[in-house]
Amino acid sequence: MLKKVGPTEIRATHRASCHCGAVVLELDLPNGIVDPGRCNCSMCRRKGAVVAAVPLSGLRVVKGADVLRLYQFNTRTAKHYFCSVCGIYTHHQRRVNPNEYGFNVGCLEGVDPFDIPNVPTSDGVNHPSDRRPANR
Amino acid sequence: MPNSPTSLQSYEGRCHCRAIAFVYRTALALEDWPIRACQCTFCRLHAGLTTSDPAGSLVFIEEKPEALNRYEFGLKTADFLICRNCGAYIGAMTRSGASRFGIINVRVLHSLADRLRSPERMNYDSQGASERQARRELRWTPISA
Repeated sequence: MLKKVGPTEIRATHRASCHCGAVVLELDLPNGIVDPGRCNCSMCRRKGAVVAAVPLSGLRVVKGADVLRLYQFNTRTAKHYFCSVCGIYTHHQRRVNPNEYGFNVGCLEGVDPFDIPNVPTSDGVNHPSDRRPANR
Repeated sequence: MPNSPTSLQSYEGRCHCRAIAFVYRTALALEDWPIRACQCTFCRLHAGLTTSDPAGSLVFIEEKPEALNRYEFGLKTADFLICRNCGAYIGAMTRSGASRFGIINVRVLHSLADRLRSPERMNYDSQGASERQARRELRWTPISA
């Protein structure tokens, strides 16, 4: 977990916003940024964002709910939200765990994702929910 | 050997929902493409990785014209092309008289990521509008009609 990125301390409740400022989120990050990662699925590789997760209760849209646009594809389980003005992906309800939101770490106030070293990329092409359990 | 039209390779990129796309032509080998990670606020949030070739050519294609969002910010010297439906950032363009120049976001190209160079961080914050325009005319890809 990351409690500090570059010069920025991650606060227990940290604000995040899109580029144009139309969308503002409030995120509960009591343990900092937990397991930041990228994913290589057809959607995530276009976005390229560093993503971390919070429980659904840990994310609040404090401004711009009417500006957020929802995009769904494939199984349409995950709900991907982005700002309809500037296109920035802000967060998504995860397919692998619908009780969590993934969020764009770069949207956190004062956080430059380039300051996070060695971000792992998960295999979203072969999504965990598509894989058969072993030994069956 | 100088670039001739026949030596150009075509690369097609598109947003996730296929509403907007581009065809980029360049004679540069993949491993020689300049890959730029611009550090402006927009590019950082979109995690944009861009390339261009002044000797190449570029066409942006609007499969669904209503899906093209031309986003401007800051000095408003370029249009950043975003899909209204899926949010993908596919590239940017600027105008100079009758000419247009563009860059592509290599993240929307299919399956090339592991063959490209590591990105170089770029910071243009200190450049004014005329410096930006000069840089883009020199470095960006001419857009074909």
